[in-house]
Amino acid sequence: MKIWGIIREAFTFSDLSRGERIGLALLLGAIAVFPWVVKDGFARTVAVQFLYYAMLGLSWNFIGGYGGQIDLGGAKNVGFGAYGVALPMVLWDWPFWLGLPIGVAFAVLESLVLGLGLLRLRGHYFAIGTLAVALVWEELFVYSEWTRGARGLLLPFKRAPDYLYMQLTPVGFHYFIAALFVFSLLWLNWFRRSKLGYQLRAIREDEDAAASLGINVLAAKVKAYCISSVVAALGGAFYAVYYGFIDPDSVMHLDLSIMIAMTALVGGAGVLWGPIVGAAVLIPLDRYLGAWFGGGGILGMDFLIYAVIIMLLAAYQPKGVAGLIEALVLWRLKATGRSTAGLRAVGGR
Amino acid sequence: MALLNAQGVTKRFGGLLANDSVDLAVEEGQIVGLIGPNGAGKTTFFNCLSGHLVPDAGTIIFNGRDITRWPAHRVAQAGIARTFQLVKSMGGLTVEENVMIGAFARVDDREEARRKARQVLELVGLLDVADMYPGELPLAVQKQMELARALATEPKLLMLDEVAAGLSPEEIEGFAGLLRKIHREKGLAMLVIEHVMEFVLPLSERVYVLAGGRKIAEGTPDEITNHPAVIEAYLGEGYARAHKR
Repeated sequence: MKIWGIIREAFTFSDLSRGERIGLALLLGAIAVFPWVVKDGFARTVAVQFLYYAMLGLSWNFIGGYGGQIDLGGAKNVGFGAYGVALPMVLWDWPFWLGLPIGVAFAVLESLVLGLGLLRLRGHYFAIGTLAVALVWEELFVYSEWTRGARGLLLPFKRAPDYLYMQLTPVGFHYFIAALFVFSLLWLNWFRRSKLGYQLRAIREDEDAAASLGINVLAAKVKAYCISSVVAALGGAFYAVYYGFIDPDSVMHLDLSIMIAMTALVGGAGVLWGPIVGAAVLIPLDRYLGAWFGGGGILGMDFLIYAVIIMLLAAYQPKGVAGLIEALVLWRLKATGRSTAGLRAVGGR
Repeated sequence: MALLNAQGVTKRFGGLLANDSVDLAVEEGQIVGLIGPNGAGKTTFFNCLSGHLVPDAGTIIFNGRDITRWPAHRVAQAGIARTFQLVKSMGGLTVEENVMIGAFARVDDREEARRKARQVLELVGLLDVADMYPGELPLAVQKQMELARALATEPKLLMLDEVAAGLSPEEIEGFAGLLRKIHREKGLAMLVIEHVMEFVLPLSERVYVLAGGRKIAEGTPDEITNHPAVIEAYLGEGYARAHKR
């Protein structure tokens, strides 16, 4: 019976505003029909990458957004998920579905052990700690012969579609990542209104107050950190079979860790749809800027434009796109003389 | 046996002896005042009781259990709730959500926590601001919210750290009335740290006085106001004269 309650909660969006619900419905509809409407290969790749990064951003939201613990090492979990699938597949020809639980289990165990230490740190110290740990893991994977080091792993080729090894057609991969994305979204939607979600939000606001109200601060943070690692590892497992090749640079790099945090921060940390909007802004921006400016003209022009946009956002709207929308709604209500007391324009209650 | 029995609580910060072997007891359903000049070590003592600090020596027995070295969340679950000298309202949560966090100490279900939160909000008279954010409300209301949040954890002992600080005389009057009402309805034991004598003395059945980290006196409010050491350390003769009559 309890499981039905959880499932019902995961599908309940009634506390979101009408605009938010319409937006989500439109997004899900667009994802569903996308491969049938858009035939352009590059656009399809961008769409898959958008869903991949949105999913990783959602994973960050558990601990970083709702818990306020700035995690700058998310890539390690992506790496565990990816290597969990790729290594047994390369070494022993194991199918995807056997490697997947190994990668996820390793990510959870590592996050549990690490979290019990790291999550005692507060604020910037936690962020620095996660950064350092992720860098260490990356180096370990680069220098370990067992993981094939910097050479990376090339997955054995099967005839697509192969549902044991998850080597799919482009359309198949689209729906595969879409399913993982929706799963992550529902999990986060359950989480944000669960007891654990409330406890994490209390911790974000004030750890001493949270503890005085009976919350085991460390235990709550570790739980959310582990959930976050599961979602990120699922994303990594997808990445391995999607690209067919992984190396520490593609699934464990610092850039990826930063990118995961950025999708949530740009869109709105601690808002259900924040990472989705963040990924929708950042990924097409990055890829299309790269495609337009990366090839010729001034070298590095795409990075420059990208950096300027990020800096402007950080300086003028630190609460991200969600904060921007909220400010607009409040401004409109005030302009029409309505009360804004107790109003939260985005993210529900 | 006393509900709370602290004996020889000692806390040192480097060379500073903040609490020097402090004894204090609170009986079931009793309101106890803890007073003392600035820097007397009241809040340190409070933090030792609530588990936010671990005392260097001494024992704290609550409800028959030794809670001396327990972390704050276990102390809270055992039935000691507290407020903070500087209000710690969780600004990103509505008033109702703030109180729900307290209710989650006893229940797992969200809607049950919400029902409990609204009951407590009704008790303290904050139901009409349940959906507002603490930052939109005056300090007195935030302090009431913090009180409600603590009550939602269903404590046996409520510890209040300078609730009257920063409030106007009328607001202090209102708060004292509210505490009396809660005491009447719930029979809750309370430990009240306070600077404002007009607030704490009429409220308390028993008063402890700290100065320089040590307990210098204890007794009924009347005994305390006439105690020579207390008058010298803290109250000033004018207040003592005014209350003799």
